[in-house]
Amino acid sequence: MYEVIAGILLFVTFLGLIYYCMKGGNLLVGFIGIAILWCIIGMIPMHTVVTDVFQTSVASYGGTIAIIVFGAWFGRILVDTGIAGYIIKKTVELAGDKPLITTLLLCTVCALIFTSAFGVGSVMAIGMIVLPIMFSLGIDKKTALGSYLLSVSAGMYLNIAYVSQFFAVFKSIKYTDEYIRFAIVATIVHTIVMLAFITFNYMRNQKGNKSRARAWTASMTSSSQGGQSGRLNFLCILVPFVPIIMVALFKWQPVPSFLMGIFLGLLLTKNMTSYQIAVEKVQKTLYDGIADSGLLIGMLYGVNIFQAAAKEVSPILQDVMGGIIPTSPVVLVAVFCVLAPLALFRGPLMIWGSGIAVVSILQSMGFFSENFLFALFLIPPVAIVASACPTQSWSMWGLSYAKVEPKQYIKTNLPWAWTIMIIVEILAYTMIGSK
Amino acid sequence: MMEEEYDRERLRNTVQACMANEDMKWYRFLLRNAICACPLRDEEEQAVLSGSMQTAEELARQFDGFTEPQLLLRKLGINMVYRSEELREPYLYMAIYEPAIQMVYLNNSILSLLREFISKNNLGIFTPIKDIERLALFHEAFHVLEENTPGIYTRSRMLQRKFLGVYHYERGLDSASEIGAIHFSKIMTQSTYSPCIYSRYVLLALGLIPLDSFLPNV
Repeated sequence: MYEVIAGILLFVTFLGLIYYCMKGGNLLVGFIGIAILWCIIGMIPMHTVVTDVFQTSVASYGGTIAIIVFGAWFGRILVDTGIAGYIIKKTVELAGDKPLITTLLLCTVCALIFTSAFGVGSVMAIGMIVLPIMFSLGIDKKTALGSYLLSVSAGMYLNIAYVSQFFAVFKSIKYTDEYIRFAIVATIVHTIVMLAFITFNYMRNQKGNKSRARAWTASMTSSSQGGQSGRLNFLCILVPFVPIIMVALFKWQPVPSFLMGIFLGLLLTKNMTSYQIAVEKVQKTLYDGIADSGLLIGMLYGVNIFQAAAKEVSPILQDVMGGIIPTSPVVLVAVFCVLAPLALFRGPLMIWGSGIAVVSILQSMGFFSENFLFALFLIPPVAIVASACPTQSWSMWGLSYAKVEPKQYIKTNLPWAWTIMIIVEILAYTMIGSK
Repeated sequence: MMEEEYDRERLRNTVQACMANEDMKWYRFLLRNAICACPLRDEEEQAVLSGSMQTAEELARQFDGFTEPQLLLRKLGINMVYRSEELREPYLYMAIYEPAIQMVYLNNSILSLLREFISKNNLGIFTPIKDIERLALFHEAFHVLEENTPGIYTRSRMLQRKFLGVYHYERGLDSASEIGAIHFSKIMTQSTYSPCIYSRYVLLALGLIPLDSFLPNV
C-alpha cells in the first residue's frame, strides 16, 4: 500500500516538475526542491540523503566542471583577444557585398567557431559582431537571429565542454573517436539545414525584389567591433580548432587541449609580449569565463543531486511507470522524433529541464543501454532547445538584442529545428546508440 | 541619454576642429571603418572616393531646384513616416529607406537625442538643429535615386578581386553608396560641414565613444 501511495506522489511531483520547468522556474532551485521531496516520499535514510544524494553526487562531478570552466575560458580567449572578430571580419571581406553569400559564410564560420567556443558570454560577444553585420546587409531580424542561433547550436555536437555536461548523467560515456565521427556527421547535417533555412528565408523575404533597406546609421566601426582584430596574425584563424584537433588527433585530454588553445591564442595575438599583459589577459578571461559558466555549473549540480535522489527511489518509479513507457529503443526514438517540440520550455524531452526525471526513470527501468539513452537525450537540447527555444540562455539574450518576439522565433525556427532533430536523432541511434 | 558630462569648452573646440575637416577625410574614415569594410589599395580607395562623390554631385545637379527633401521624396513616390526605436545598436539609425514598400522611416528617438545633445552643449551654431532632418531625408533620397538609376557607380561592382589568388571576381562596396548619400545630402542642404558629424554626436551622446575619439582618425 505504501509503495502505491509513494508511487502516485512521485508521479504527481514529476508532473509538477514538468509544469515548474515549462513555466520558467529556476532549475537549480527546482531540482534541489524535488530531490528533497523525493527523498522524503521514498523515505530514504538521512545518512544516505546527506552522503550519497547531496555530497557524493556533486563531489564526483569535479572532472566535468573543470572541462566546462576551461571551455568557457577558452571561449573568452577567442572573443577578448579579437580572434573571433578577426575571423568574422575576414569572412565578410571575402564575401563582399552579397547579403546571401555573406550570411551563409558567416553562419558557417560561426558554426565552426562554436565547435570549441563555449559559454553564454562567447555567444553574446560574437553575436554582437555578427548580428549588426547581417542587419546592415539588410537581412531581416528574425532570419538573422534564427540563422545565428542555428549556427551556435550546429557547433555543439563537437563542442567538448558542451558534450561533457552529459557525462554527469551518463557516467560511462566518453568523447571517443566513435562519438567524434557521429558529431562530425551531425554537424554537417545541422549546417546543411541551417544553410537551407537562410536561403529559404532570404528568398522569401526578397520576393523578387533585389533591393534592400539602406539606413543612415551611427554604428560602431568595424575596428571597435572586432576588438584587436586589426593587428592579428593570419595563423590565429586556426586557434578555435586547436582543442578539437588535440583531442581527436593527438588523443589529449580536454583540459590540456584547452590550455594549448589558450596559450596559442594569447601568443598569436601578441598578448604574451610582456609578462604583465599576459597575466592581465589571463586573469580577465579566466574570471569572465567562470562568470559565464557559473549558473550553468549550479544547474548541473542540481541535476546531479536530483539524479542521485531519483536513483534512490528508482524501484518505486519503476513499479509506477514501467508499464506505460515503451521498452523498444526504435519505438522510443520514433516517439522522440514525433514529440520533439516537448523539449521546448524545458519540457520532458529536455534533459536540462524536466527531462532529467524522464532520464532517471528510463535509467532505473534497466531496459536501455547508457549509449542509447545518451544518444536519445543528446539531440533535443541541441536540435530543438538551442535552435528554437526562447528558454536557452543565449537565445533570451538574442531575442532581446534583435527585438524578435519569442513566438516569432519559435515559428520561424521550429520547423527547421524539428527537421534537424529527426535526422540527427536517427543518425545518433544508428551510429552511437545501438551499440 | 548617458549622464556623462563633458567639458563643454573642450567639446566645442573638438567640434570646431571637426568642421575644418575635409570631406575626403570623413569619407576615408567611413570607407576604412564601415562594418562591412574591405581592404583597399591606395588607388582603389581614391577611385571609390572620387567615383562616389562625383555620382552624388551629378545627381545633385539634376535635382538642383529641390530645396526641401519632402518635395523630392514626394516626386519620387516615397512616403515618409516617423517611428521610435531603442537607443542601442543595431538601431542607431537616423533614417532608413525600405525599397520594398517605398517608405522612408525617420527614427524619432535618435533625432530627439541629437536635438537634445546639440542644445545642451550649445553646438547649434556649428551644426544647426534644423539641418538634421533635412540631411537625413536627402540622404535617403539619394538611395531612392540609386534604385532608379541602373548602372549607377555607387551600386556597381567596382572592385576586382581574386578568390584564393586564382578565381577572378568583381564586387561592390556598401560604403560607396553611403559616401554618395552623405555627399548628396551635404550638397542639397548646402551645409558647410560634413553630415558625418551627426553620427559622432550620437555615439558620443550614448557614451559609445570617448571625446578623444570624436575626430576621425585616418
